Amino acid sequence: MVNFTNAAATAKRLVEANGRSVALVRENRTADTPGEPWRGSSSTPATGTGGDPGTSVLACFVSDGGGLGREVRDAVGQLVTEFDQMCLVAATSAPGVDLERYDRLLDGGVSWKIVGRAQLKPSTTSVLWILALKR
Amino acid sequence: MTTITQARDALIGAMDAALAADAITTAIARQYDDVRADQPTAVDAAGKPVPFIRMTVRHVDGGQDTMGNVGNRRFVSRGILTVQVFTAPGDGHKLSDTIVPIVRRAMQSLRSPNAVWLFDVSPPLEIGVTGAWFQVNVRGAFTYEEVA
Repeated sequence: MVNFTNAAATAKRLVEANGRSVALVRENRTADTPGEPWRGSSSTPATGTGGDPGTSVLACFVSDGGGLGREVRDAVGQLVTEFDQMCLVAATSAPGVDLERYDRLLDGGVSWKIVGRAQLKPSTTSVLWILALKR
Repeated sequence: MTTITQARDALIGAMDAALAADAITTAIARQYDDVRADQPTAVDAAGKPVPFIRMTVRHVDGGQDTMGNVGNRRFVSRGILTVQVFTAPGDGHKLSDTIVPIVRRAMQSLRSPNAVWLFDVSPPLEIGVTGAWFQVNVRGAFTYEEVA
């Protein structure tokens, strides 16, 4: 079996060298009124019961055109074929963090919805996350 | 007379209470329109994805029903309540055929909560495989009036 540890380390080096810091946000899932869960939560994502502090990662924004863009469009699913930009996050930049959890990405004060995620995990080692973003 | 908030509370609240009260559906996760929720990732004892239910209220049309001074006119709103039932595929509809009648009975039993009338409850609408689940929808038309 191929050892992808070196590939993960290379991904980390390249993404962090060429990327910038962004914040990942998970919206609060805890309802404001327990008896009325359909009313949702108006709490800030990070505070209150069920709040999640989020996390910061280094993400490298790349062109969504060409072959990689098509690959990502295929990977994130047929229903989410349109996104405005995409970024790469090295899996080892955020060890133990499940990027599936997060709803939005804050880049310099601009909020982007994460509309698709693809994880490059050819073996047991996760190498790279690709996040598709839309305003 | 009913406000839009009362209408949502009436429809979703009544359905939510009915599903919570049933022995079969009480343990099934319920999701709601415009409320953040994660799709269940757990599996049951057989290794199949656990079911979940999603409820959505959609207004479709409406209009002014009576003439009069502002504040004394009656406006009618109409829409569709949709309950989506997601069950593990491959069991020949066994689980969905257990859950969907409970949903339909609950919708058929609603007695104009908050003066919202729910009628024309649909038969099970088999949508097909959706991701890791098989989806069946049940729809009902609703109408209510407000004064403005």
